[in-house]
Amino acid sequence: MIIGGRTWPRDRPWIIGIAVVAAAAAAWYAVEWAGTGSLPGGSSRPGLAYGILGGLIIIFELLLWPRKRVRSWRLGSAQTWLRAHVWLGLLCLPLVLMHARLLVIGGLLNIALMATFLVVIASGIWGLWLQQFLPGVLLDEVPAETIREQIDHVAAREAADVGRLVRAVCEPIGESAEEDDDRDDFAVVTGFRAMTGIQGRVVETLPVYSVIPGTLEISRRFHDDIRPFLLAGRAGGSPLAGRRQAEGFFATLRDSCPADAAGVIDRLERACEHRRQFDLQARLHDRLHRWLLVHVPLSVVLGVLLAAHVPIALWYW
Amino acid sequence: MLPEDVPPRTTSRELVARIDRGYYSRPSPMRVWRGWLTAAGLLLAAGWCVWGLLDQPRHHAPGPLAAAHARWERDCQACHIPFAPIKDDTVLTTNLTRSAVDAKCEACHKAAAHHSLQLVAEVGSCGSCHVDHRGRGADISRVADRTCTACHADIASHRRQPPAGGAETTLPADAASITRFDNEHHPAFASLAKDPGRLKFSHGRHMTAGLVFGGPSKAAPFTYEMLGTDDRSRLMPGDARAGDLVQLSCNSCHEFASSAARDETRLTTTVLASSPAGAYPLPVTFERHCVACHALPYDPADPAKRLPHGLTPEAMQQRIVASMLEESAEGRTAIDAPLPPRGLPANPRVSPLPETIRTQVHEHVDKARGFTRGVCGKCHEAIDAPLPVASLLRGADDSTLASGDVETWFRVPPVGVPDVWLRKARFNHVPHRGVDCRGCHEGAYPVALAGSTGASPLDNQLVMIAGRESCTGCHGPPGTDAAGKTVGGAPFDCVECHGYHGLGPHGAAVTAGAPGHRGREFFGVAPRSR
Repeated sequence: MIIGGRTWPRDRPWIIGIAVVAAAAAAWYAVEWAGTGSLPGGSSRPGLAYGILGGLIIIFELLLWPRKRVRSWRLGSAQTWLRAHVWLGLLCLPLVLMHARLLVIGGLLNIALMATFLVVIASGIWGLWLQQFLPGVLLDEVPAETIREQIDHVAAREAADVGRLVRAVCEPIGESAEEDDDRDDFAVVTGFRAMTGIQGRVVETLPVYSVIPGTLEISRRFHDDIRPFLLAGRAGGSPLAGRRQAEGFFATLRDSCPADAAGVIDRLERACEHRRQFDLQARLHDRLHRWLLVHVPLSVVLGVLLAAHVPIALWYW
Repeated sequence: MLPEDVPPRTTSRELVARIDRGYYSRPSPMRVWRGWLTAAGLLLAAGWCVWGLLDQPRHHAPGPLAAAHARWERDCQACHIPFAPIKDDTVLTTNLTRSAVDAKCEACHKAAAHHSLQLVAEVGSCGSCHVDHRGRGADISRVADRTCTACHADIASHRRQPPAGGAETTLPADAASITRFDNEHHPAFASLAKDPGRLKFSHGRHMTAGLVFGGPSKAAPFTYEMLGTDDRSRLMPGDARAGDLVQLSCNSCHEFASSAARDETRLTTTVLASSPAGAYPLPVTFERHCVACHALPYDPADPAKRLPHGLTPEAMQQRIVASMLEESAEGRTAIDAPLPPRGLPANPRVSPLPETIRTQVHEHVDKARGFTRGVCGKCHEAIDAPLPVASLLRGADDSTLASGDVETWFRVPPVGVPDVWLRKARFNHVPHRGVDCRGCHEGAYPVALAGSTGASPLDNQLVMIAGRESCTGCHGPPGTDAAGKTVGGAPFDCVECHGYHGLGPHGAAVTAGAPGHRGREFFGVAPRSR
């Protein structure tokens, strides 16, 4: 959550500040409007002031991008920059609207500039809204969260881990006999642990004693269903992508295997659960960042059009 | 077997291998897309700017110019000066920038001062009121009301102190604050406060069938057969018979010039000449509208002897004297002495008239003068005007008659009936042709005068043009009245009726030195009227 909760004390001055500035700006605009009887435009006193202020804010907003490139310069904390980016960006909206005579504008350049600005603001607000609640969903629904770009790697690693476990304790199927060579006396499994407000994946190693008779079905299911799902996730169309279907799948597997194999089946089920969380994380992550595909490119467009607007407006105002 | 309480046995190398340490150096698909889209956006924006440079009017102007300025659509410098605001409500407007930009407008448009008492510092630049770039069809002369009410809402604080004794020392109470056109916020029409005319005329009598009004008349009612041929063809309706009573209507006398009649000689005033065809009725003339019934006899003994209309006292005197002498020479008068021979044109009076003839002629002239004064006084005021005795009646030694050198004639002052009544507003009868004349000119119609003396109000006692209230019924916000009837809807902004740049109705100058348009200087043409 970007705004609210623990960040509220730091957001409050910003909120009060932009509310006061926006109200004062609106009051000045209204006074000018009442005085002249027509909507003050960009060349009026308040219009020009808001145009300059709005332009400076837009330039500052654009600086967030290069600032990320030069983190080592220590130009304030990332939190402060992001907070300023959000609140000043919101303040920019009324200022620019009043500068633009509340959208009573003409000329393709001005129209393009205003349309771009509004889309950038709208996408920013949409992104802010997503950032408000999606991280919470991630925290609740994806305790095994990893780095987005690591998902495939981690999933492959987990598939390999549980594969070693299956090969170590389950009866082998014919075609995987050659894999018996790398049989270890321990297995590595991935777990999940939460303590003192911190949660995440952990790695555990388990010693392996012997093959459990009657577990050929586990090896078969692992080879045919579980391993493909762990590697490809829901993209493979596996029935294990759904939690309810997975529960049924593993209940059937438990019924067909001896009770000693319950621990192995539990580990397999947990691995599938991790994979489902990874899939969910990938979806949420994409949703959380997809708005940037609009926000960032159009911000650059906005900067270019603004750079053209300023001299032309001053030349022919 | 999977015991739960066995300590882990993985090596740190294996643990490190579980992390893909090079992941950050490989761009994610999302980041790649963002990069491509940003590059495309850059190109698009740059292309848009280049397109804007190639097609500046569409990109950099807020809208197309008005039709009158379309010629300069692609020539921004024709009106704009770089970095000089064209409007004067900007931060950077200075007197220097304003005069420089206004000079561009004044190259074609000559704008006069609005009022002699206006505060120069409060007068806006051309572009402040006349906002262009609102489309081809926009009327940039149709300025917003606020440009007028900015001052007229409290005019006392927006004008100089008038000079003592000047005509504009006092401000009418109802003109102190004008904020919109309605019955409460706009003063009554000052032009209609009083009829300045001196003509004695009764619309009521003339609008009554047979032209008799208010009871028994000495004269018999007029019938169409009593009119001359020309007047009969002009005034007699197609379905009327010769014996019917004459029934005049408004347009019997108040004729409107058609567009083909721009050279109409009755377009005597600047207002009429510059107004759209049909905006105002042409002036009523004696020769066209009155003479059918009102001849101007000057000899009480012979009503057939008539004077032309509009003579000066001198001309009237000479005309009557000359007529008497001429008739005497022809033996058609009671003058019993023969006249001496007439001279050549270069020396018309060879010898003075004998005393007896001069005395007789003078007696006749005296009678004619008194009779004519009565004839003229029927419709006009007659003011005493002393004139020397006519030279024809002087003796050989240039002596005069015993009555003296001067005799009292009379003159008729101008009737003073305005060609256009609303002096500071424009009006056009053409758009109002669907409205019954009675709607605005009720007073011109015969009123029921039960038991009246036969007199009807004279026009110089009554203004027969309805005022503001007759306009606001249509010229106001649309709505319905208490009876559910639709009211309002017609334009009611200031410029619907008023000009600003020293211009009265339809471009006529009411302020000194306000020709209004350079076209008049350059080409001798008036601006096109709205």
